[in-house]
Amino acid sequence: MTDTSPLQPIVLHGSTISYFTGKMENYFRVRDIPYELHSMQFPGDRKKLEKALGLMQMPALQLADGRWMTDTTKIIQWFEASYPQNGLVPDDPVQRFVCLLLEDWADEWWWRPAMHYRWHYPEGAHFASRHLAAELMPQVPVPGAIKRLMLRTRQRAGYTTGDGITAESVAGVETMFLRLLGQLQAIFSDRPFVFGGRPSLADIALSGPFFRHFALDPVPLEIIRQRAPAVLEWVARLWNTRMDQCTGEWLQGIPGDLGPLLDDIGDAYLPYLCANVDAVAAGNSRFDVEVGGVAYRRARYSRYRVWCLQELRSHYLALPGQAQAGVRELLEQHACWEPLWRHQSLPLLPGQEEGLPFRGDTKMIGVNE
Amino acid sequence: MSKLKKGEYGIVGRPESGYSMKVLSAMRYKGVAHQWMDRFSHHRLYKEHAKVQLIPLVFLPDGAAMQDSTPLLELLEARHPQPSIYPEDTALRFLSDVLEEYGDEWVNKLMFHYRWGYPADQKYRAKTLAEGTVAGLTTPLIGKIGGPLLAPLLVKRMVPRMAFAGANDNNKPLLVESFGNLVDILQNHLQSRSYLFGERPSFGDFGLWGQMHQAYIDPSCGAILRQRGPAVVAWIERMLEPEKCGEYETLESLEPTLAPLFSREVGPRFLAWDVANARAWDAGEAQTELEMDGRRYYQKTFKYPAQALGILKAKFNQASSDGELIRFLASTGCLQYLTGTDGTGVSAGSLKE
Repeated sequence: MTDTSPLQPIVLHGSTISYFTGKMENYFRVRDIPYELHSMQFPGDRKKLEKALGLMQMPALQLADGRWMTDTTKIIQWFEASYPQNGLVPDDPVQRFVCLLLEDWADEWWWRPAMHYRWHYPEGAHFASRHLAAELMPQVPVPGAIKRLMLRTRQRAGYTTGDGITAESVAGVETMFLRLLGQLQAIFSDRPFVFGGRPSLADIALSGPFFRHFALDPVPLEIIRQRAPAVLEWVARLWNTRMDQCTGEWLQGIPGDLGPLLDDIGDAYLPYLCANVDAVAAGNSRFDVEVGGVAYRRARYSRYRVWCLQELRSHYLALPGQAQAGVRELLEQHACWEPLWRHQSLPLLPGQEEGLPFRGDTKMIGVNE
Repeated sequence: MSKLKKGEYGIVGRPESGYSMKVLSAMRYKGVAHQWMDRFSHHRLYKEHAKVQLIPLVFLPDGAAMQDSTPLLELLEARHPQPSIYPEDTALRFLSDVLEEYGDEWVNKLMFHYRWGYPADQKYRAKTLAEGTVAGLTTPLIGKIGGPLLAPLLVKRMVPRMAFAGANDNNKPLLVESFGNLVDILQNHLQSRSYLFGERPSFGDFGLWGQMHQAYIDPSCGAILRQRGPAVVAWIERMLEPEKCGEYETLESLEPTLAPLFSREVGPRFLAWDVANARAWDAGEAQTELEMDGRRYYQKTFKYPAQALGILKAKFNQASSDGELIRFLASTGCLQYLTGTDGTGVSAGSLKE
């Protein structure tokens, strides 16, 4: 077990059906780091979190010594650097880069489809709104039906129909999900985890959209059961694996079946990030973009995702020379290279996100405003 | 001085001094003829030659005295180049320089915090020091009798000193975390190699080892090391009589397990404090304060580390044409502290609107 005793008890404030709380839980489980999950309480926790972290976002991590942390990507990097034994990031720098790219993509690009499947379909919205009202808002003195309506309205306005999805684009978003299932079904039929017999950061990343969303919400869960049972098996396998006891090995190089995932990143996610850069640079809070064959209308700008692009660039520049050449070749093959560097300069705020994972002042600008 | 044989170095030191042991280990590695002289048994000699009340006091074969262990190791290297403690690779050479400084200036705080911050450690270390002091000045028997009288006074003297240097109550959790991280990171790194940079010891090994060896011979740190860092313990033991058993590795092969040491410890803790200390010194501020890992850290501002940082930066400037070094320092978040610019590895122009 990873000895985190000076940090214990680690309290994860979130929800039992939250995307990023689920990602964090998978991380802690796989690294065998004890944690307590506490349901965030609205509106009571808002002030406390804004004071401690500069933002209200799920999940927030509280260490025994009183420190608070935010941003699962940076939290995981902090823990991985602190407890490097049996870590999740492969030594091979090319694999490492691909892990970080997949993590960013899983975090930022699959969020919208995950929210879509939950809040678009009545059975998903019914389940999630009842659950969240009871879990997070038991103290709010309004009738349950009003709480559920508030939740549905807020989530749709912030993340689905309010973030670019239109009646016309629903089919495209869902096709994208079915394609992902096909790709992952092939991968997990071939081997237990993305990079072989051992979990890596890439698996933790994908647990975000899958563990508490696609493999939980009624509509996508049934689709996975029917079309991608190996993915369902992987969700449970990851949850039940401990790095310290795992005898599996990472394979060498980048398996060919990750190619289609990279193709989608080059075709949709990175061009979307570029359109977001344009919007932020122009001071537009909304933008239209067509990527991966799907047209998004009035998508929300995100300062945080400009920083995400910057992070990807930094990860590339952090690679040793030879690995840079290898990664560049890989990215060029999958049309990821050009959009990664399309903008010469990125419209970041001074010192943007530098306080992560302990301060997140600028992170939520534009999100659900 | 009459006690020193011709052509020999003399180290006036104590086994409880990491800087003394660092010099001793380096002389052993280089096969340099030397004589160990207990600080207290050579009290008069020490008083006569020491310019500052610190050990070791080292006599060169020509009788000249030196007290700062870092330039002393550099002088040893210049006079006795084989076996060298400098990696030929520019990047590794600089990283080794950084680790030497990190050991001296940061790990020293961690060790000190444990040594004088916990009753069992205080008691143990005060006893050995007090007995050594009294025995050195008189006889071993009187040392046994007089030691217990002196020991509480030593604790009284050391605890406030330690607080000045950063080991205060406010910083305690941070220092505890730092030591734990360091042990875990080194354990991971040293599992598959004999020394920090491969199969031969470097400048960085000596600096870091000096303090880690002290930690190891104290009760609390020793227990942590034995429990969590068996490979670190093996390295500590190895460094008592270091031997060249192969070559240095490449940065590429070291990087997976060396990078966390820089990204987690050297950058956000040691260099962040070092830079803040230098800034405070220049501004004439008596106290240095900064935020570290979501915590406030403060201590007295010191001149010595500010000067040492200047020297480290000069070394960096000489090495800064090495692209791999820059890449490594940027990717581990250390570059910003050495250049005063952003450390993300992307040109500053692209960071501003």
